[in-house]
Amino acid sequence: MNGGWTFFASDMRLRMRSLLWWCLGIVALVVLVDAFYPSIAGDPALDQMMAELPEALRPLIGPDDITSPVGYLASQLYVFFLPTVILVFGIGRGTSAIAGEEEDHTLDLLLAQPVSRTSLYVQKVFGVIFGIAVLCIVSALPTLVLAGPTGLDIPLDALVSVTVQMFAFLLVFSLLAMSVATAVGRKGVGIAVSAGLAFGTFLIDGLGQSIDWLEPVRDLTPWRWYDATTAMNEGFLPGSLAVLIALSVIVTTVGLLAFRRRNLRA
Amino acid sequence: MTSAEVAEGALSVDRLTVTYGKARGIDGITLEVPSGQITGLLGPNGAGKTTLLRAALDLVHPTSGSVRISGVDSTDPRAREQITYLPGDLLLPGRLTGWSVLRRYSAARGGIDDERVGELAERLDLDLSRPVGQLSKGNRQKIGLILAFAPGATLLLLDEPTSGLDPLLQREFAALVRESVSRGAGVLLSSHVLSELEGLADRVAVLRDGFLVAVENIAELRARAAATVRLRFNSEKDAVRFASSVVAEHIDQQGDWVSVTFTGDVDPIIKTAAGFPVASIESTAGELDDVFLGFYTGQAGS
Repeated sequence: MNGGWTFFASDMRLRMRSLLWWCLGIVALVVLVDAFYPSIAGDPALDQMMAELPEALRPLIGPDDITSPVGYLASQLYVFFLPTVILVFGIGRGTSAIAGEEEDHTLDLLLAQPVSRTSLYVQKVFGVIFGIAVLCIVSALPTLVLAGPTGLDIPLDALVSVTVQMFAFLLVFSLLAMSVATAVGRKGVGIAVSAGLAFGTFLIDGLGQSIDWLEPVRDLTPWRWYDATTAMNEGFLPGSLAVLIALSVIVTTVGLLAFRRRNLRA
Repeated sequence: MTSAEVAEGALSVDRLTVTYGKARGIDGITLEVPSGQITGLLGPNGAGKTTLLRAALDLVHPTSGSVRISGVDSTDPRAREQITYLPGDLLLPGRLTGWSVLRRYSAARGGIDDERVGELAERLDLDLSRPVGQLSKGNRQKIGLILAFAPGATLLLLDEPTSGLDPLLQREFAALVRESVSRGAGVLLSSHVLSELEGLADRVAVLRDGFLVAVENIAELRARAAATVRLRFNSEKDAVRFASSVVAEHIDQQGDWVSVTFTGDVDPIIKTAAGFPVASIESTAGELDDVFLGFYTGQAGS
């Protein structure tokens, strides 16, 4: 095929500025959260407050010891807040990659070139993956740099492990959004399905940790395989990582098959 | 059918049917777009013109039948190495400059010849360094013209391209089309008004409700169109006598003027008029529009 990665490169240039803004935003957000740590570190009142929460709600927030560095980062950033923020980027980027171009009527002109839909799709998928990877890496930097002044001196393994888990987790919902949007040719459908599932499965996973009958369903939620707290406490989780990557591959493949078959809207 | 049957068509559409959802797209169309010719594609909005062009680009897939571009099936991406496409309402990412747009939409065909682009931009009076979002509709369409004409494709698919072009640009467009044809490209040019095709197209294929209802050679068709001659006689009496002796489709006598509408040869009318003192004569060529309106409404015999 002609010009192997031309669309990937062209998209990079098209979206570089927006990605830079996202990087700045993520850094600012993590710096703020990190900077707040010294004022609550080791405050027993907070751990006490956590202990008094209803059993069912506690897992939604994170580990019980939210005043330790790992507990603080997990509960304040990694369990919910940071992945959700980056997911906004991932879902937006995923749905605009092809469905957005179709809605903007610019997809025709891309595909009027000698490129297969498969090649275009794969290049767009890697564009989404690249953006999420950049934001994940950038999100770890402030914590690494500020470890001294803030006292958030968690092991490098823990930070790398949770970042890798988060990256793989974000791919699932971002590529799901892309896949659905591309399959039907509408951004909105991809956003709704993916955001709805992300939120719904978050509740199932969290509540499933304390509600017995929900426990078996947890295995169906990507959040359970993300498992930020365990990733920070125990390092690499190759099994969970494999599940997340397999999910991404499945949703991406289904999206590609649907995209190849479809008639594009004028 | 016309004399334009060439062995290797730039585009060969064979019994193509495209159905989507509830709406029918096009139904059983067979059409040849020969190299070195301009084939017009005429039909009201919704007749299936755009669907036909999009099938050639594989943006919509054949439900049955096939489309081949210089012998390569449209479902093979390599077929599009031969094609450039110009949509009527060209929309582009507004933040990119003209140059970036041209690179983005030609990258997969191995880029675009900068020299040729510069030449066309100068000819069209277009500044390629400005973000396209700041350009007027006419200037954005010029970028489309460059995308269509710079690569030197063997098949040009032009979908209602002149809507929104000012007269000067329309003339430049016509010149570019003729240049492409003279170097051997086949052109398929769609429009919902005949006047856009009339001066350009060698043949016109007429679509109605997804069906191909006619493929006609424009020159032959013009000969068949009803023309009108108006004659003024020296007196009203002569006018009345002429009107009663001439044979034609429609005769209208008013005062010393007689207007005669006819198809075919003008000779018998002139011979009849020669028997009377004629003061002046003027003639109007046949209106192709009327012939094509016949196709649209399904009353044409040919």
